[in-house]
Amino acid sequence: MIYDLRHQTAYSYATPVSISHHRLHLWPRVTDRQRVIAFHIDVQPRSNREVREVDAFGNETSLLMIDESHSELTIESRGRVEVLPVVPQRPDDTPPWEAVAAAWRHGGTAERTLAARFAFATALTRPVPAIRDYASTCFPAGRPVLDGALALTHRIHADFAFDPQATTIATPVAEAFAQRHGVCQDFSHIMLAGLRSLGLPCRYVSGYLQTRPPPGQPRLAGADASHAWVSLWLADGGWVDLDPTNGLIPSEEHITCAWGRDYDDVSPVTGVVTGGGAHSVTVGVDVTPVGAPAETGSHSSA
Amino acid sequence: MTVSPTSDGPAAAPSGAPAPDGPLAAYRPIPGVRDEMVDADGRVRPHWQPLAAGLDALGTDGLDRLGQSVRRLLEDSGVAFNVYADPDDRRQAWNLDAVPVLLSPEDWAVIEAGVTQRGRLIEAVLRDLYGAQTLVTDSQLPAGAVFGNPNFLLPAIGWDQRPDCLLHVYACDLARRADGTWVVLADQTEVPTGNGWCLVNRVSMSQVHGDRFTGSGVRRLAGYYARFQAGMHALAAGRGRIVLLTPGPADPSYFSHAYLARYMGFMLVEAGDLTVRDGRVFVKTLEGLQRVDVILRKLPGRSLDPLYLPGGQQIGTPALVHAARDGTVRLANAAGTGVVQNRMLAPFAPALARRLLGEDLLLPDIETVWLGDADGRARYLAAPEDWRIDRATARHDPDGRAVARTAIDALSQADRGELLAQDGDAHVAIRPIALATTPSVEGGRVVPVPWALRVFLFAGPDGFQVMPGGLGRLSDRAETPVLPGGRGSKDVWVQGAPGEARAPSILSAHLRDAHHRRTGRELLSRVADNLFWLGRYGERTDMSLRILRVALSRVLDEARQDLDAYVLNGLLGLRLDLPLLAPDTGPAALRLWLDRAAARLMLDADETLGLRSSLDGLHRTATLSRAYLSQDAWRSLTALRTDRRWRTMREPVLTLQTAQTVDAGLRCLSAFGGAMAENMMRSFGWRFFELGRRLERGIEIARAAAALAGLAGPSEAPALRTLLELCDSYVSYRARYLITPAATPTIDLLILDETNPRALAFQFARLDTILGQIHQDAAYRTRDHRLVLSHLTALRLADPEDLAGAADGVARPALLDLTGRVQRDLLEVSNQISRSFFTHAERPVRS
Repeated sequence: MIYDLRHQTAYSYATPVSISHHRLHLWPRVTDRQRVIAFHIDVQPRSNREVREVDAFGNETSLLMIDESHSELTIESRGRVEVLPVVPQRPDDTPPWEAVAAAWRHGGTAERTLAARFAFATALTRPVPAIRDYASTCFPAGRPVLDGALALTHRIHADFAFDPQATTIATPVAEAFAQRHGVCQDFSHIMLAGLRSLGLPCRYVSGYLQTRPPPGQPRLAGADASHAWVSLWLADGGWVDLDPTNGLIPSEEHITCAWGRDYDDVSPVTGVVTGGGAHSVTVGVDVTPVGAPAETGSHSSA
Repeated sequence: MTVSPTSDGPAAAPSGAPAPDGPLAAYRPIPGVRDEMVDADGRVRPHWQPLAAGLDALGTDGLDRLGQSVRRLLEDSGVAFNVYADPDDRRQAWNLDAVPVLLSPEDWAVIEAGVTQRGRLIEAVLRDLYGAQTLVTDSQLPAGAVFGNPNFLLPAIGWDQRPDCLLHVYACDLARRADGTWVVLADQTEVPTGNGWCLVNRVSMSQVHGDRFTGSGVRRLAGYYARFQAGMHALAAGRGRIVLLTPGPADPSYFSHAYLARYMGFMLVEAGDLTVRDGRVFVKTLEGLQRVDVILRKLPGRSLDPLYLPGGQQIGTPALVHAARDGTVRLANAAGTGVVQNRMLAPFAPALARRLLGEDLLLPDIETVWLGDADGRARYLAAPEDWRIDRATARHDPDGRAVARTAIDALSQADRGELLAQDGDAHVAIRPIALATTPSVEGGRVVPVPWALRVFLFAGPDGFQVMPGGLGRLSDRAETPVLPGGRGSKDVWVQGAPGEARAPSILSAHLRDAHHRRTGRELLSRVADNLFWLGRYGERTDMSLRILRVALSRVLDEARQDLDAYVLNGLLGLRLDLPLLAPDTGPAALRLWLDRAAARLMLDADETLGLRSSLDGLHRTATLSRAYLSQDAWRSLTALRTDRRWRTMREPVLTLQTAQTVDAGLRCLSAFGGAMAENMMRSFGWRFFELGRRLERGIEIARAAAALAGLAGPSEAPALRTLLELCDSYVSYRARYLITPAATPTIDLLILDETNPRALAFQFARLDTILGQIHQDAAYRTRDHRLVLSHLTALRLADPEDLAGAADGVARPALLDLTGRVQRDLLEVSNQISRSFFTHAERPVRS
């Protein structure tokens, strides 16, 4: 499937900003089943300077600097990306979860060392006993790791209500867990905290969903903004994506931008400004299969 | 104690016999515990003999005086004070024992070889962890010790060009065990701290010990710092500016940072003073942005950069990591060196040394178990009472705070096991060791006290250099798991091998670079801001004290008990918002009212214009601009700050004792003003101080004149006299006019007379001069300067008779109008100056 995507972030400041720096994790990643056909980022004001870097996880990033006084800032990325369907794995064929949890500890290969980076709690995925207990019911002794992880994915999807008003980026994972409400970032962080508390390496993946579903299919939650899901390490069998917000294994409808340990590693737009006072942000995301008419979704936060 | 006959020291103990009543006569080692000065039989070790004899010769009284001298020198240095600390909080005070620790060349050789090897080992480990990570892949270091470690900074890996050195500065905490062998207590790799304290200790000790210092053949520290300085300049490739990045005055080690920066000639900056533009780092000065090439950082890695390292405790400098990665700025230490801070390396060090260096580890570690694996946890849980838990990468500053018992210590055995299974990666268990002792002065006697030390290294072009000395710490207990704190510090003297050359003073290097700093335009915007407010707070405090002095004289002076409701309303109304006294209030009620008001002015910390707020502001701004104040100016303010009488005062406050305290305070401020005027370089810094001072004084005079000379009528004479006293001009007035105060001459003297330093016109004349100097590059007069000039001109053209003229026989509209405009416009000038010069001091925020 080939998509056109557009992601706009617009800041409006109460007083002029004298200097600003932003770090962007907006570039779609090139993967085994994703190809970037075209991509560029437009910024207003035009006096900005952009530097591209690859971060520690191999994500393409942009560093943006503006030192002209400004009261409005718009960052818009546009691109065309091709996504291939996922090759299904038989959950029963994956190793027992205990073997995966032990594999990275024994080292021996660079690939295992890379996986070990994702095995530990971070500030945003701090485990609490309740989350650990919640996750471990899906992992009885000897259960194949993907079987257990799929159970956890479905369980979170069934138990939690998608509610953009319930949480903010600053809501701790324990709080989102306790109130059983939240958005894709919260569900992903909860799932990461649970899997890591069992010693399973897993990544936070940031990306997009197709905005309008194909005919006859329901619209997926999280489609009007950037989306997030989880990727689980299957020991020496690579990684598999899991979307707890929608209770499924991502395939052609998920476009991958970046992955890291949690939201802080790959937040689409992070900024630090001098001046500015109070500010408001509007985010709009559009993901349309090539050939289909565009539809715009947007939401605001302050 | 026995001084051996072979002693060739000073002749105080001629034939080895101790002075029978000397302070060391009763010194005995603790059985079974190694002592630095004496052997197991109580005989003084050879390298201690000259010093021991010298101390003995001092006698007990002499030793006591020595301690007092040390304390006084430390107080003068400012080491005893933390900027936000309560001056009564003795925990904040820096203590230094008057007796140094003397180490022999043989002991030092062991330490030097051991810590140098350790520095090389750490550098090799860091290069691997931020590179190929083969140590993790090959299970030499557990993954949890690296990736479960909050100080492992992922943005520091995968750089195209890596600096050739990551660990530029390193400090190693060491102890001599009771059995005499040396062990490593901790590695300080993140922001090694304590050089400043070390320097202060050495400066004080070399001063008070004089001949005993020179006679002991002690190695100097200056050579080390000269090489350190040269090494940093080499990093900057000769062109550059080197800054020392401190977390700021709230950091417990701020003094040490500031002292080191001053000694080395580096600019002391906070994260907000730096800005990254187009991948290059600049510091914000009055002259504008100046390029920075090397950052000696004392800010933990996690707080360096909010963009690349979100979640830090401080906001840091956005894009600093990007600049470091590009190689346009050098971070010393590099970002991420904290990963092996404290105890993370210890459990694995012997194997790592063999693998990475092909050497056996020279200095063993205090027994340390990492709790991130099941074996380690089992060892700990088998006998938890034998161990102390610490965070694996904790930072222990040598400022007197020992390691806090962690929450884990308080848990039950089962909970402890459970918690460690979840969060063990970040923790270690340390088995405390029994410490050797060294002679220290306690309660007038010299006794053996357990001790440990921190030694300092930097990586120069020829490898690691070790500072010949160290920061000694005394311990409350015979055993310790970490560098002890709380009982005071020690200067560590390392005896040189015979014939060793004396190092040149670092000051010659400063002189060589002096022409770079001639203009003073490199003044940090933030420092200019502080000096400006130092001037303002100084004047504000001065006026508060004068208000109190006048109030006190009206109550205490038998001949001057002319209490007048109008005068008191005007006087105290300058500072407090009070219900007005009725004109017919009786003398007893007036006195009571006055005492209450004076108490509020002195004691109420919530009064914005109260004395407490002004003194706090004065102290804070003085500490923040410490590097720009002369020793005498600093000492005067310290005397004011440490006067305990301000804090122990009780109502009624209008007593003779308060009068003495107020007088002493005014003397301190007067000495401060004099020292500033006489000793401060007429640089940009001085101009901002003077600007603040004149501005505040102008506002105070205008306010006082409006309150006390604004009305004609029956209270006029006492009111004018009060005003003259307040402006320290009563004597001048009497000398000139020989009459009781009248409106026209008083107004002339206090408002229009440009020769009177307490007159309004004088302040405007000074402001005109200084603003002219500050804005000398401006093509036209700035708005602040024009405002000042228009007032100065108006004052020069004004007629005192007009200003004294009363309408309706009561109010003086011309004077009230003038003083009102002056107050308003001076505040506007203050705002303009802030906008023109201090906006760089504005801090970035997350968006």
